[in-house]
Amino acid sequence: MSLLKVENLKQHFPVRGGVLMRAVASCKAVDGVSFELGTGETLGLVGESGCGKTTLGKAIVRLLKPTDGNIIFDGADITHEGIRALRPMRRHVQMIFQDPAESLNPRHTVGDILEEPFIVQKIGTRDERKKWVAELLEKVGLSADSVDRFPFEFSGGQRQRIGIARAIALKPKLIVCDEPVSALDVSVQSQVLNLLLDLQREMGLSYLFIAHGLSVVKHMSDRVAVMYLGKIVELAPAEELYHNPRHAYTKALLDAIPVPDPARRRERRLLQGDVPSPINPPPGCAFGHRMKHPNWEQSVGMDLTLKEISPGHWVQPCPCCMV
Amino acid sequence: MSDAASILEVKDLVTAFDTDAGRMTAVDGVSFDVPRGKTLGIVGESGCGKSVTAFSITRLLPQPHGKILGGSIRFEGRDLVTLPHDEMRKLRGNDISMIFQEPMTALNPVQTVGKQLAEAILLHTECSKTEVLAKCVEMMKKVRIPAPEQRLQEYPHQLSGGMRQRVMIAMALINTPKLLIADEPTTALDVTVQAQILELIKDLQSDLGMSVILITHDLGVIAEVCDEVAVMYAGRIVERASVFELFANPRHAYTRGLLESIPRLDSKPKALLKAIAGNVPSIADFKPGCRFADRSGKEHSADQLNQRAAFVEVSANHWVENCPICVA
Repeated sequence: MSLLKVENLKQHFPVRGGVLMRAVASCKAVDGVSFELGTGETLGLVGESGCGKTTLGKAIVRLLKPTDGNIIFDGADITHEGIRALRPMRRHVQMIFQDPAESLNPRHTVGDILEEPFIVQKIGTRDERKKWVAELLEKVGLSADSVDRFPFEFSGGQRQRIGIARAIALKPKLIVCDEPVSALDVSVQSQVLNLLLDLQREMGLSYLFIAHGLSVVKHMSDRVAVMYLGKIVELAPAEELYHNPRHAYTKALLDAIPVPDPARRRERRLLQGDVPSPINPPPGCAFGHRMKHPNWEQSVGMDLTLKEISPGHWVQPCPCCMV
Repeated sequence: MSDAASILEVKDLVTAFDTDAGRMTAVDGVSFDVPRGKTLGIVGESGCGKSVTAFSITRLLPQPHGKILGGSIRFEGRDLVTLPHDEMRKLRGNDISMIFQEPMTALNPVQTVGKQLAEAILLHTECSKTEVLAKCVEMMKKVRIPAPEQRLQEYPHQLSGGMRQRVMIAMALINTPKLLIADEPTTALDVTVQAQILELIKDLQSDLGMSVILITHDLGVIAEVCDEVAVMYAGRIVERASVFELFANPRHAYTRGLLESIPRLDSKPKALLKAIAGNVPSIADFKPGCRFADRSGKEHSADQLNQRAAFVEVSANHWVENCPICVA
């Protein structure tokens, strides 16, 4: 049985306007997403900014109230649970944020930050908690004297280690990593990626790994889902997706990555235009619409749920973009 | 030694900031040339001095704290370090122009795109209104902005990120500069838009025959567009070579470390990456000798820590800061 099962998840936000600030439109940030995630597995989630990947992550840890669909975690439906009912589940689902400078309270010491999860969950005595904090620091490679220091005294990479320590404090089963290395320096990124890989092996963690850097996602993930305008357009094992992309958008994304090897410069087919707004998205296949594909009209009104075209390889079956 | 093959020659540039904690030397003796019609990439991490180098060339250092303390910046035979302010103003935006990282903060939010473009022209040439408009429209077409007449009437907030960066490029190129300095021009953009913008800069460069300095932290971007590369670390250039030579044959431990630490599409999934230990040093902790010593994982002698190694040409046009421990 899978650890996390997301079925047809929708997260819409009202767009308010007019004198009475009534909802005049809705922003369909996540619009019908389904996938499963197993224990110890990493699912990568890629897409351009505004495609809804962060919103999806936030909905799964239930920082948002989903509009529709189901989130089943560890056998329990947590889609519509209230704050109190969610508390036991929060122990097992944690999040690592993009910018560690903004996700750590600047007025708390590192010790306070790392002790808080235990206090919230009412676990352990004061002495036990102190001991656990020391263990956490060691686990993420920070010195023991960090306990009494404040976040600003650390570099970006070290701050992200604090964020990771906080996320693993309660020995969770699932961690949603939202762009965990994109704010870090290049030479520090690989340290943090290695730490995440080590922790996964050691603790049997599952990751939902959200990023826009495709090479990073490929490196970290077992399977990768590609999102475009609130929908998953392709989902496949990492190697398969990179060697045999079947959706035109996945191909375009792969084509756009700069390859760090000047001997392999190539003529690239460039994607034109920008990501359209998720407010009033076009009907049918949104990417076919952007590409002005001649077959796009056929996709309007079609059932565009993902189809399994080879074992584990799912693609949105639109007549314009599937290749 | 005025070398006609180079449009810009920077020699032993030292730039420092006066702060409450004392004088901080952000750029510490940096030398490089920009070959005419080519692209020089400057790659490095935050705080390595790559942007300060660019601001030194355009003399846009924050005043009164930022100062060029030594060295020379020769642009077509003239030394920009000693050039009077009004001469520099004539050059800036005309012969040398710059694109910044975040187009939203670099554009004026309360003026239309057209007004800002026109200003760039009128500062340097006398034109009639119709000529200015025609020039603006032509430039907007060159950077591939659809419906240029309409876009000229709009404000920056009405444009997408990629579109704003195109406007920045249009503004920088409207007086056909000889040298363009692009400071992280694509860092704030998505990969697909990044590819469009890089392609655009490449195309315009060959059309207009200008030279480009491209500053970035992304080795992928360097590999795609640059002819020459300078790797900066902690205020110094540690290695400089042609792009093919640098990627095929990196000599400095830092360059090697960087190249090995980036995940690649063809690497083994979920395998541990080779990481550079430690953190990027802060400017207050810069040492006189080898600055990569504490991250190299190798013992350095006291001499190597206290005395800067010479910048030597190890093979044709391949220069390296020759610390005997870090260079292999």
